[in-house]
Amino acid sequence: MASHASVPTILLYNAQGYGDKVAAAFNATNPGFKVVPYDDSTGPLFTKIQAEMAAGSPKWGIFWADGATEFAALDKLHALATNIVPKAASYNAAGMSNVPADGSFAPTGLTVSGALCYDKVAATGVTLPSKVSGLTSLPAGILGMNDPSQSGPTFPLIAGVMAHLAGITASMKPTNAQILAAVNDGENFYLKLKKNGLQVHPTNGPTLGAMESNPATLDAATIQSSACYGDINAKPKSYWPTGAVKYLDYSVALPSNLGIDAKLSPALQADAKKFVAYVLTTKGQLAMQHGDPYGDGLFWPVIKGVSPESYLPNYSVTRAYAINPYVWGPLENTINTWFTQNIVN
Amino acid sequence: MTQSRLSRPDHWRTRLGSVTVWLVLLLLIIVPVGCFLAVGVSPKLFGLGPQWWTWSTIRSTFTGYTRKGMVDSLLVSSSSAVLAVAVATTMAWLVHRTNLWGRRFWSAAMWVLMLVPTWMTTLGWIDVLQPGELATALGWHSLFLYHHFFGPDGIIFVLTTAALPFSYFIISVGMRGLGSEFEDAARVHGASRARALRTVLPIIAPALLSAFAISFAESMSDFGVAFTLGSGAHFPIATYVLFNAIYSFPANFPVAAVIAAVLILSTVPPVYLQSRVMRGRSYAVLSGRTRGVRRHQFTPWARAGVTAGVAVFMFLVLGLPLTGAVTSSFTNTASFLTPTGVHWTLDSYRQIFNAPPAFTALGGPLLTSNELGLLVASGTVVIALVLAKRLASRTSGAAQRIMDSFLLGSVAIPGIVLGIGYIFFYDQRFITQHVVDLYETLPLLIMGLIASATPGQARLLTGPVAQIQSSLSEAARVHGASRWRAWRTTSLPLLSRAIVWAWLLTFTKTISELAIAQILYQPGHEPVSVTIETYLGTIFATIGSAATVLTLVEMLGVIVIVLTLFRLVTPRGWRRIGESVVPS
Repeated sequence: MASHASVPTILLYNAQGYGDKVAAAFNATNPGFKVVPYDDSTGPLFTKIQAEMAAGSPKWGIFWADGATEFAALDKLHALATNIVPKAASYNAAGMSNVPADGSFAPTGLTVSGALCYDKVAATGVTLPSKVSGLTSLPAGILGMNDPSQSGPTFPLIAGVMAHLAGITASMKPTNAQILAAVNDGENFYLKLKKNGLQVHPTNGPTLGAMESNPATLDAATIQSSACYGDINAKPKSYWPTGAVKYLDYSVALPSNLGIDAKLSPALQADAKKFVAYVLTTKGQLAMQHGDPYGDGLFWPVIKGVSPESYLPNYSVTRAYAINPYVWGPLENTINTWFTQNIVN
Repeated sequence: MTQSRLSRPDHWRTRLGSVTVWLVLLLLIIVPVGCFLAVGVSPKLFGLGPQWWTWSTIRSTFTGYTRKGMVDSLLVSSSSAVLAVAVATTMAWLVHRTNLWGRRFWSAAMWVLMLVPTWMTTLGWIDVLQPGELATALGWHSLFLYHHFFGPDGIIFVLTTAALPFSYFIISVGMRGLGSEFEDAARVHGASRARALRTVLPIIAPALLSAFAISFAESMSDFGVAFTLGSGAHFPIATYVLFNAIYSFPANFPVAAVIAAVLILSTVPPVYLQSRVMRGRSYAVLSGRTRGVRRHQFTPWARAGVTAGVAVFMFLVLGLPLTGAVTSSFTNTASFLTPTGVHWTLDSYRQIFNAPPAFTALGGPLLTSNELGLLVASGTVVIALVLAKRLASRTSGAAQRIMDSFLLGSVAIPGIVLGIGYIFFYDQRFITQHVVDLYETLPLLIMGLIASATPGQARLLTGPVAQIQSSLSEAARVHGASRWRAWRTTSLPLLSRAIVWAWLLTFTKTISELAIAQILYQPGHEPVSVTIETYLGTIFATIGSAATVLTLVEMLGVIVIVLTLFRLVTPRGWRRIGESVVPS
């Protein structure tokens, strides 16, 4: 780690909108070392981490991003320090259900992927389904989603749909045959959606843009909840006053996580753990909410006693379905490649 | 002067120069890119697989989707290059050889087109064509065009407009250096206008071939189109497939390496063709006796018609996308046209420097990018001039061809490959612990950007350098001038304009460069392109548009200042003769 202004620094590879503000709040009260954010999307940051590992001299110290599959992959490569979850963290039930057994990454907030966002004006006269399976019966061409190879939260959604179709829960240890059957079921589901005119846009922004444009080119989309709430509830005025969110029979849990580089020196690992501990306090969770009030800050807190923003429903309403990142993470490349070749193109 | 006539000190100086040049190229381009390409056949070299040597990645890459991407790219790049050269030749002839109205304006417009990166062009077009945007507000039904834009047609169009100025300036230099005497000689001997054209065009064959080669290479490597149009196009191109391989989970560096190698190798045929055509011939036409050109005089009606045609064309390729970006920047609604009309506001411009929560204000990044632009442009011009001089040499044979192929191949290296290659090499444990730890520092980003800019600039400068007859400096040397004085008093005046424009072009391209900046920027010192990218695709996209417009205005401001300084500090003669090698 580089030394900066005479205090040690730890590089925070940050894909969260609130990361800079949280780091600044932490640095203000922890003069012994400095957390320096390096901001980018999850994909480029994860690529950098892999390239640095390949070169043999990782520079990142802490990684903060949505989704657990990348963290599970790093854990499998023994690239993450274990037991980073502070004993003092008072996780609520939803948060605790996403903590890995070896404590190699720490959930810091929850959003869901697969919420049905829609434009109330464009979807006038359309009967929205109450189940995910009902999406195939929507009028042709009105449904959209993101491209999993470009949008971080989209692979967990696809994996969640596959797991749910086959009844594979997060606590199960499925056989290869069960996974294969789940993947086949999921592929058939997405092929049906494509046949019905599914529109695939790169990320949340363009998908929302297609629903918010005048006239809308898309009536509804299954995307990340926080992105929809951000546009609908933006201040001082809403960017999408006609937008709404509907939860179907299930959505897919999408925890944001912090991980620490296993190659950091013990002293810096100890410092990095202080940052993790800070994020998992009431102060830290509030800093996250205030750091990006119209975007990533619209999450459900994982710490007891911290409430979500007032316009978020109770987390139970989302019927969030959790996936096992250690089962689905290794399949991400294969499934995304299939999706690109068969659904996007 | 040939090698055999060199004195011993000159011989060693030349050898030392060659070694230095190749050492610089090794550190800037060859070793980092080589490290990246090596994983295509030896994944274990970087711990990315169990094999020290394997052909399996190459075999798998040349199947299915990735093969289609590479074939599509070859077709798209060939089409774009042919179109760009054809249009550029027509434009160059109209501007430099006819009495077209607004000739300086059209040349200036070409410079502006050259400065605008493809990602800005694409986003500008989306601001025009997307339902709810400018076209909808004007009552045009743009959905059909919008869907075509996200397909091969749109990709070819954007790549052609991006390659057009490169071709235009290379061909213009060829035409400007070509006095009317060749055309006149053909006409005097009874040739028809068409026959005279067929006689003259081969004289600028090097320019045409060079324009084709660089347009092809630029199109093959373009990252902006892959980034913005790639996923929605339903038409995979190699750079998009490469982009997906690198950003997939886990990253598939070996497949990306094979695709990158194909991109680089695909530039060999154009270079081979160029060298075959030019073998043993000299195309040097610029000397102290080069005469001015005589323009074709259109009739008043034809002149008006042709000028209107050029105006419509330039509006389509440059004006419309810029108008889209500018109009979008003066709103802050989800789409340009809302159910209650268009809401004009300066809010997006206010928020550029007073950013919303979770976003970065533009001030710091703009300063960083200008600092980068200054250093990268200065470094690039020095290296590119040295390389151009070697490329233009008519005595070096194989070495020259190797250098030529190498530089054109380097133009085809996507920035993202260079960026990851820099991590693979400069973040090696041995280097960081025992040599120098440059990764995620400003110097390494500067090196990466110089490496990216140098091949293109060297090839652009080769034209002007090649047109200077060696007799000019030889005469100075015979009269006792030192090597430096001979260069300063003969070549520099002729090249000063080209050098200034090469500097400006690199400066502006550095500011808008995204792929390398995104991977190598120094923590806490985000370049402006990275900042703008974080706005686009969010609800704050209009702030991104405003930031884009402001950045373009800043670039143009720098160009005006530098050109004004050039006009003030250089002798009048420099500017006049400099116009022979770089059109105004």
